Amino acid sequence: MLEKGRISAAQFSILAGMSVLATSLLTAPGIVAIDAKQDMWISPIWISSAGFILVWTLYKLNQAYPDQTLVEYAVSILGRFAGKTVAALYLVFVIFATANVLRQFTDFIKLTFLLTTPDFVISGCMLLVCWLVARSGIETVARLPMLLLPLVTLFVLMIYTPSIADIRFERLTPVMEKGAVPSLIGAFRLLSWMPAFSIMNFYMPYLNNRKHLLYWSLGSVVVVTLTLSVTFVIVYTVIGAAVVNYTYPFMILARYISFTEFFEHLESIVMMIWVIQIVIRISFGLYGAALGMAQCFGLTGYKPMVPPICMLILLFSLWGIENAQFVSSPSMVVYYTLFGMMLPFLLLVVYGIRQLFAESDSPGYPEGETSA
Amino acid sequence: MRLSMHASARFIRCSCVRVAAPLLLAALLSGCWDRTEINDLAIITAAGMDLADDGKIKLSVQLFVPSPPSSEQGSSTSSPGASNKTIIRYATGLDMADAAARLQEMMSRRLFWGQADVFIFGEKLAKRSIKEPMDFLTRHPHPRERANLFVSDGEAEEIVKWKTPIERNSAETLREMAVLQTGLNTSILQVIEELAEEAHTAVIPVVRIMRKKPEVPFIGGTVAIKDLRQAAKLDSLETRGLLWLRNEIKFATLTAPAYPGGDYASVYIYSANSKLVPSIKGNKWSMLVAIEATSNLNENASTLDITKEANVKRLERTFEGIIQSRIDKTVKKAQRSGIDYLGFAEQYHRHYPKHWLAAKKDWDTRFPKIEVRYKIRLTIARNGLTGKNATLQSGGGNNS
Repeated sequence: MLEKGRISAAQFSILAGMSVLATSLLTAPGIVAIDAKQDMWISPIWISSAGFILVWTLYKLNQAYPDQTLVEYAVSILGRFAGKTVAALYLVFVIFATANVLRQFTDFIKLTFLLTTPDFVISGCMLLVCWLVARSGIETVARLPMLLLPLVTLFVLMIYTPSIADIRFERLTPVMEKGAVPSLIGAFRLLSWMPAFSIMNFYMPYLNNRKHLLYWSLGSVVVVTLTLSVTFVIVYTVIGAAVVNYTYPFMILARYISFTEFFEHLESIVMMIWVIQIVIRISFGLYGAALGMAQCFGLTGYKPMVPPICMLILLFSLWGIENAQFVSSPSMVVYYTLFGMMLPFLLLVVYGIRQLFAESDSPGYPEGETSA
Repeated sequence: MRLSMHASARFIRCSCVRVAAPLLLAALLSGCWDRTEINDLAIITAAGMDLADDGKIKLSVQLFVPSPPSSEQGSSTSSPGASNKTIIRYATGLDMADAAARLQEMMSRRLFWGQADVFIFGEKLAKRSIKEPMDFLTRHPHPRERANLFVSDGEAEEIVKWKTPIERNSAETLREMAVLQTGLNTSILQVIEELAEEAHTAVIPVVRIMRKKPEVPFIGGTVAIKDLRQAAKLDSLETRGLLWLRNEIKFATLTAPAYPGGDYASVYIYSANSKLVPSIKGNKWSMLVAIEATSNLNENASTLDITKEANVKRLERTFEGIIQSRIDKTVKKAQRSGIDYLGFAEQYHRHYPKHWLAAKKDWDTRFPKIEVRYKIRLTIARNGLTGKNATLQSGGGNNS
């Protein structure tokens, strides 16, 4: 095994939850609102079902191959050639998804705070931190979110609490004016976030209390769904129909806060939340990609893979993405769904079929060792 | 031999670190290479947008020029901010961004929009379209969503350049006035939000300048925006009616004869709550305006004995009538013009989404036909420090 460290199920679920929430808090409201409008808070609830299925799939695969990541059990399930190919494609997806997050981060910082700083410097500084986190091993990657969670919670509450005064709940009516379709389209757009849960597979083998795995992972999905839903409610009840006009409604919310004319200009808090979350999200992907890459090519350690993958992420984020509209474009959603959701699911299906044949062909064949 | 090689390798490594460390530290020396100090900025406190004669946009900005902090310690004893100046600059451009860029050409300091709390549209521009400036104000990362919007009665420039004796500058004066909320107080975000709602209308307060000496700008009246241009104008009294409908009345003083032919009495409303309740029966659309208000008696010059409960009730009915007539005046005006700036559309959309979807297209013709009913409940909770005040009333009564 390339990784000697062990993490707990709680750390694992906080890591996954915060990673998925990272970019969604800031950019999702504006994107989901385009179609869902006042029903936007329903969209996360729809899409949580996809999250549950994904987590359950990963859990099942992990039960079949307790000590392996997706990269390894893809080979076990599909055979050497197909398995390695699928694993490599999946790794490209992980790297691309992480680069996408980095690009969103860079765009936001460049648009709102550091107007004249070059892209490269912003992305580079961020990657430098993530490189340090990822190369320190799984324990650092997983404990960092746990350490920072109280801070992020505090900051988020500092934005929600003063906005309560501006909330007008009647803005949420009429609920489901045009049926479920608008909120479903919103949910479809959220599919560019939920597949990030699939990166969990790189961490699942290193849990020390695996019997809690399923509950903690499902809990993670529940918390992500609720956080998104509550954020959407607050954003829409404060900003109203104008949410659609803004790229970062969450930041507008923070800027709009004027609590007794004293607590104003809270956008720097948004920046702090954002930076912390992005560090966690990128290290989550970076560590996963490095570990997967090492396993895919049969290296003896994953650490040498971290700097090249950092480079790839940086280049993908600057060159691979054309403009700011990439986050929710249908092709992106399809790509994410294909690799983040369909791939694990198909692996499980193939595994199930193989089990079936293995059982009928030669009864008594030990489970999980169909092709070793 | 091996020992010495080992030692020399260590020596080389040590000296490498010794050279590298100061070099790394040197990277920090660049420190503030891109610093922006306060005296590099031209801080905009208010901006006025006017339509120039050739169809271009004339931008007039009020700049706050902070005096550089004096190096002497003694200067702090003189009144702070006395040397801070407010100056006015103008530029004309094809659109707002162009005007801002041209303005920058004429400035030795970088324009900074982050402190701009007041934006004023000239009347002519408002009548053409507020689309351009609004797009600039929301797209640009600096102007704040809570900044106040106004439409001026005449040129916006007049108000921007007006010098106030009390506050720091006219922007501050207007903002404070808006906060007191005798008229509307609308932020950029609110206007954008209202424009995005079903009726696509918004209301923006009007700033007028009192033409008598001394000239004072004040918030008097409202402009209703429809299709991004000024569509109707309300005076101060009609604005009060609008505020009642929008549930934005925080406090109000109502004055009326205590009974027909009697002297005036006034109440001070300190708590008010209004609600629009739409209803559709068959093809008949109606709107119920439900208001609950609590007030104190402020003045009673009439001979009405307000220590008797029946008289207090009578007075309450009188003032309820006053509120109703105020609101009704605004409603009638809106219905005559056929422009729904009262927020009725939004209420029907919320409570009758299916009916609304069908009626949405011909809303402009349907809106004037809506029957508006009122249910107003005003309570006079306290009579003030004096009760009947017999001394004054006997004296006053004899004279009249």
